[in-house]
Amino acid sequence: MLVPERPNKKLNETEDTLAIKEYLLGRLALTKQEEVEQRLLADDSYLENVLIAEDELIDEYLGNKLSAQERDSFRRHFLSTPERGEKLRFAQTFRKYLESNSSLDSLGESKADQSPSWFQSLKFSLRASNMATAFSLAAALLFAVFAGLLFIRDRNLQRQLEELRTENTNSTKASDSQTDKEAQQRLALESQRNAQLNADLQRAQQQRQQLEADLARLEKEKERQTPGGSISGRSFMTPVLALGGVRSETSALREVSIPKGTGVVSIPFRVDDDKYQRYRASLITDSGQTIQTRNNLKPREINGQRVVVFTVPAGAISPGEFQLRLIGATRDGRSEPIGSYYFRAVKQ
Amino acid sequence: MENSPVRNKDWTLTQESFDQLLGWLDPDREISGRKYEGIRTRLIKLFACRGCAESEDLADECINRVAKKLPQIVNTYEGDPALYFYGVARHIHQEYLRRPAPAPEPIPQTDEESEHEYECLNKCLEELPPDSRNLVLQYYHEEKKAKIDHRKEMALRLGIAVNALRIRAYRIRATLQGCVHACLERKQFERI
Repeated sequence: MLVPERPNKKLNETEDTLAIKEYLLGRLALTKQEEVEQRLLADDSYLENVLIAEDELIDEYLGNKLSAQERDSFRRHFLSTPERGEKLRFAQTFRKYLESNSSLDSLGESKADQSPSWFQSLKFSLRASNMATAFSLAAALLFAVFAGLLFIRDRNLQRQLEELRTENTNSTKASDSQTDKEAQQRLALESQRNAQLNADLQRAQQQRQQLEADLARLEKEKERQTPGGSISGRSFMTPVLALGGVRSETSALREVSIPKGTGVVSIPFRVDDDKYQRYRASLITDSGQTIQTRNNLKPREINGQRVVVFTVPAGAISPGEFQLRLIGATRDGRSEPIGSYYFRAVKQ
Repeated sequence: MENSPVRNKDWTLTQESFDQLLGWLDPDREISGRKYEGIRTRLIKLFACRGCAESEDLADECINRVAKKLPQIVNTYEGDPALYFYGVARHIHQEYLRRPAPAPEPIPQTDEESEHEYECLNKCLEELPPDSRNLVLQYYHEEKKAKIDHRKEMALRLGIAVNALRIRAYRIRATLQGCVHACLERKQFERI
């Protein structure tokens, strides 16, 4: 029996999307706003929904698909943070790219290739559009196979029983003792086969359980090894790093030793110039990969030094050379590159 | 710093209180740091969604206040710690609204900056695996009415639901934006 949960789910998804859009525009009623925010904080997948809705809202704005009121809310409310301004600029550039590379042919796929095959359609209908149907069909198929096997086995047993009865009746007069002996032998053979089948089944179940346990262990290990994902509970503050000129190729690389069991690493670095109100810092590996960027970092005093503290999960730092690239934001909102702080991370 | 709308001047986050906060978020050392990052990211988003220009400052202030309050609540509070942060965040937002904050001036992009961003986008698209590049270009390609049908057809072809396609396209776009951002920063640094 099918449960009609898919339409409801779709309805909920649409309601969610609409609520998030209104929330992003600052137009949601307070009670609804609190519902959205509580989910934003407590529900892992909800943040991604909000981020997707941000992109879609920007696209709608650029494509002139918002109403006059929505456009007004978009400009006044949505664009109130620098990060969203950056997202908007990126979307404009991306749009420009798509417009100037508008031919789908350039993507290397003809229209004919794009038509889904009957197998893809079937696979899709099973996998994507209705998971409940897919599970029901799979369960029904398994049940049918099982029922079929049981039916065949039952028929075989019945036939054997009939044969035994017939033989028994026909040969009562001839040799009762001989028939009994044969029947007992057959029954013993059948029982032996059953025992063997049961043992095989049990062994298969044990193997499956072992495989499942191995899989769970491997997944856990993989999760631990994911960059940025391996974090323990304690925090650790490194010594203050100094810029030492614009770039520090000439000076020896500062070694930063991170104790075992560290969850979060705080890296303070000295900023002498008070020209900047805010800083943006990016932690970059020696191969040029950006691990983390922090915006709006503010300078503070530590032991009489003006420093900015950059915080990063310890799991994101593997032993090797790093640079902290620093950009300052002036009072008029312009950003200026300042320099890089170089260090070598060592794990204890 | 002087413009910070809500700053608790009498208390600063110490190493000890930060460690205690991490311990409260989860006794399992494997996941407490990750939870801390997750809550901070969400708080920033929450303040940004409420129209606060200094969303990172407010998120950090919220974390500081929870850390300060923690010794008093750690033994009695029941439930998801994230929701306690939410209560404090609402309070901070109220304070923020009572203080006049200067509206951020939008910084117009110069032609040169636009050109650099376009170059970076081109380069970053080339760096994407071909499947991802095709997907993101096709997904955002169609316009107006055709868009919905086009995306349905794409999902069908890939054998996934439309919403799964939406998430996949978003993730590639986010990767692309991160790449463009890093590329622009490199260009800035090449000039000094």
